[in-house]
Amino acid sequence: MAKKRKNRFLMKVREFWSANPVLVNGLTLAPVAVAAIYLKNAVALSLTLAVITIPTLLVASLIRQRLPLAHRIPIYAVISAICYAGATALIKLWLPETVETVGIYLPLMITNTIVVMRAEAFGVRNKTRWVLLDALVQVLGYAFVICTVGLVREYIGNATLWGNPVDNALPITGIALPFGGLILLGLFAALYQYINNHAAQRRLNAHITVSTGDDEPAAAQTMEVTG
Amino acid sequence: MASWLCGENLYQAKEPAFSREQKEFLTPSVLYLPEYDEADEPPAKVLTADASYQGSYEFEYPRLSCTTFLRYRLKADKPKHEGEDALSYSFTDAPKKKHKHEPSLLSNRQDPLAIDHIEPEELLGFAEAAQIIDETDGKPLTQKLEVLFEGGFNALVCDAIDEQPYVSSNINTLMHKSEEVLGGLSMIAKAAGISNIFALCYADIDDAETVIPHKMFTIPIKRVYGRYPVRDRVKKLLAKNGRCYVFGTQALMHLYRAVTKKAVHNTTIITVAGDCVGNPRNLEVRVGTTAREVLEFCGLVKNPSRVIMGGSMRGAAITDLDLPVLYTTRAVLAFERPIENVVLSCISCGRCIVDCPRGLAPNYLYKQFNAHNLDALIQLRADRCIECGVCSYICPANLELLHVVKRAKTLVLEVKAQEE
Amino acid sequence: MNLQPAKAPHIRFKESVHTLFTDVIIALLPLYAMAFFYYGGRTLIMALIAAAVCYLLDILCRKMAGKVIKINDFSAVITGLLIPLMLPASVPYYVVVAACAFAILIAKHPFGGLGYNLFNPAAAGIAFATACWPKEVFRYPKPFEQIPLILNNPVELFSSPAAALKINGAPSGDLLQFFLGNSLGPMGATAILVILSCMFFLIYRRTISWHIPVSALAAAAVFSLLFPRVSISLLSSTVYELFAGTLVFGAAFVATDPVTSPSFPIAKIIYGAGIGLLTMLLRWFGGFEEGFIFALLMMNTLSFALDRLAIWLRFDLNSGRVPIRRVKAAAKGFMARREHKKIYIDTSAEPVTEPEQQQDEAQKEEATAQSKGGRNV
Repeated sequence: MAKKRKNRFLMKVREFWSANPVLVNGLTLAPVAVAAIYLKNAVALSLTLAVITIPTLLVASLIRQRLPLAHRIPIYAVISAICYAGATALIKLWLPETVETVGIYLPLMITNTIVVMRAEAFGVRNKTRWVLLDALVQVLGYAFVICTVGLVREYIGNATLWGNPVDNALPITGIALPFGGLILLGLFAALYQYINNHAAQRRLNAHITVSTGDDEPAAAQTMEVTG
Repeated sequence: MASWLCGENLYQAKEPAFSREQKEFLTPSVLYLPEYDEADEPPAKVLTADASYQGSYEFEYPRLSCTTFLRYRLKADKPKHEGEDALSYSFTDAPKKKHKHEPSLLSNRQDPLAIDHIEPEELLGFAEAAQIIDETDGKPLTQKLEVLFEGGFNALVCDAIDEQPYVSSNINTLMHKSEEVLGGLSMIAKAAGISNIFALCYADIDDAETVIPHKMFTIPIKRVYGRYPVRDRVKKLLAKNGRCYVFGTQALMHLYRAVTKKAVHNTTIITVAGDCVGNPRNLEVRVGTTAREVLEFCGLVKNPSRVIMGGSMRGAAITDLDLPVLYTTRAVLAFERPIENVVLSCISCGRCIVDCPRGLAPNYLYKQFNAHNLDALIQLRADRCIECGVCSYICPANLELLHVVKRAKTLVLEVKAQEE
Repeated sequence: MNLQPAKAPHIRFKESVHTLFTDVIIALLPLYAMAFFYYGGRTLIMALIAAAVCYLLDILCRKMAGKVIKINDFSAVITGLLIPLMLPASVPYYVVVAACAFAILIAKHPFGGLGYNLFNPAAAGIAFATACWPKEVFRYPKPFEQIPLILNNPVELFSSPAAALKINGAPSGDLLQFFLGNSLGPMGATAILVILSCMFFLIYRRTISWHIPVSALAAAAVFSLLFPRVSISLLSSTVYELFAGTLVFGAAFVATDPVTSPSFPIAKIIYGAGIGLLTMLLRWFGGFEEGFIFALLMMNTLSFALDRLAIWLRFDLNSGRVPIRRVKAAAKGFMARREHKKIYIDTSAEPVTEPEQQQDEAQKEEATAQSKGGRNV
């Protein structure tokens, strides 16, 4: 029983990479492509997402299927808006200079697609602790992507890092424009696919070399479940 | 799009075969015979037949399908006595089977041009006894004459169009055996009561050394100019004369010979050309001669990498030289250099679209065929293709467009036949 | 005797894709000669750098994609030669390298490589350079001033006639100098005379077709005739509009890229007209002084749709080619109704409606099809 729970825990944590909300499911792309031009912006956006998504998913797991779908969705929106008030206060406290540059994308986080998709796909069917874990994993996955993108764009496009100027001989300002963000996101997704395929290929090769060795029973080696 | 803009100007490398006299090669050592009904006796006057071979050939390209063709494979016998001519295998006696038209009407007429009238039944009798087959569409001449004699046609045409490069068998026959060809034509005209007769030839030949005359024996020879393929231009030209009926040149020649010399149709005139052939010319050979013997007769000066039976644009390349010349074969060509097999990716230059005489889009047909998308093939009207080959000719990426479009066409025709 | 199977047809046209590419490269060389004449040796160094970068990156990408490496594939070299011609001669080398890298690494190979790319790589590279370094790309040196090979000292830069037009002023300099290339502008796009003659050379060699350049320039000319930006004589204003900026160069060389433009002639005409129209609109309302590149990228997305439109026009709208007789008969009927005359339309003008004549035609077709049909090997 404990082993099953541990397995489930590990599988969920694995979804940080294997079911990444941006790179695999393509959710909430707009802030990544348009607004994440500085690392501070990225951090602000991911913080906002965290503060909005986790309570909303918690509420979703508490409501479950007691209300029909048409009533659940507006409740998510209202909860997100309430949480946004808290998020915006936090951002103004910790990272005030980002509010102008992020602009409309901060309040747009209220309607982010992650919250609705995860709530309906996972939140209303599972126990609260798993839903919380799922929310955390999704938010961390999103934060990973958006902070990487923000870091790259700030370094290459603006020659700064966290606001401090950095010695970059060739700033390419185009990467801070939306087209640059989308292209960068595409390349990031391609890199993700490459890493996955490479890892899968290595796993495959490892199994092949092992099982064609001595007369060990091949059934003893089970194929790892690829997430 | 105007029809004079479609197609391509091909360099018609017809010399020297175009202007040379024809020769005859009627004595091959191996000959394939046409099939006959089992109920009949084997044809008379045939020397030792090697009856051991009883199969039928399956060819790689269905155009050359010969399943109706082979029963016996004949080998030449050694002469029994000194001086005797051992190599003669023409069936001067007609095979004994029931004719639809009376064969006893085979009479000896020396100068058909001099007679005033000839009965349609007589002509049909000659055509059936001599078993003449029209070389342009493979139909028996009897069938064509029956359609003609039903009436309603305004003009008779002798088709001497040789629009593919290197091929000049029809026009050469018209120019060098004009008496026989035009005699046959005028016989049919007199039998059918049609006064408007002419011959049709393709005159856009850059390297022709002889001039095609405008009239021969008071029969005009009309010309078709323009880019290959000339199909639409021919239709326009024929439309000016009302309803026309078209015969092949060699069918007319054989009809004349049947009437005057009682000869059965068992020869055909082909062009032997190409850069490997030492003496390119038009050759009259027996139907069933192998390509090997034909090429050996004309001499091979270089080692060919491609031998083609048929025209240079629409013919089929053969790998086995022991395939026979058929009634509808027009040429045997031997080329030294192979076509590069390099196939690049389509760059959508659009030249195939501009050149296609039927207005198709071969590049899209190619892509949709490779994507197995049958609905797109139907929408792109693959059934309209006339298989002229201009798209593959002009493609800079060397794509096999003609091959693919042909297969797409058969698929679409199947679907359309199922719908009906 | 080693006989090989081959597929019909057995003769092929001498040209191949490689000769097509070398034709385009040959047509670009006079433009580089003119650029060298006006701006000095720096232009040639930019060309070499761009061509080398594009070629090497193309080979690298092919290797990464696992494709066969062909050393005589010059499509990337053409991209490399087109990019510097749309930039000023005084642009730093890193701009050229960045534009080439973007063109090959992002606009060409991720979409599938040669034959499958959606956007014109040269246009995408220039658009990237324009978006990232607008100041370097839109300020030009004067011709006949020697620009040093390595820009240590700043060169005097001026804004081009296109910028003058944007603020509704007349550009300075007379039209003949514009035509010959003695004006401010991108390196290869000022010498209009040379561009037009190279374009005629390519049309004669059938490398490009006339539909796209003619319709693009015609659409731009019509638009600028109707809405002139300069208040001098109408004709001069149109000519200034056409000659300023990269419109003529782009319509001749960049827009006619066979992969990204449609294949059907009617689709090409609509595509060219769209490019001309969008260029003028972007010049009027866009942020930059020159909008050709973005107009081209926008029309690139519509290439396949225009081809579908052409297929619909050709096959679904009527059976076969445009029925001129039917159109004429319909027009005659329309005109007759307009003039309120009692004209009975002669039905023999529309042979397809009469059943007897239709049968005649069908039999005639059958008769001729018998002789010219598919049995004719």
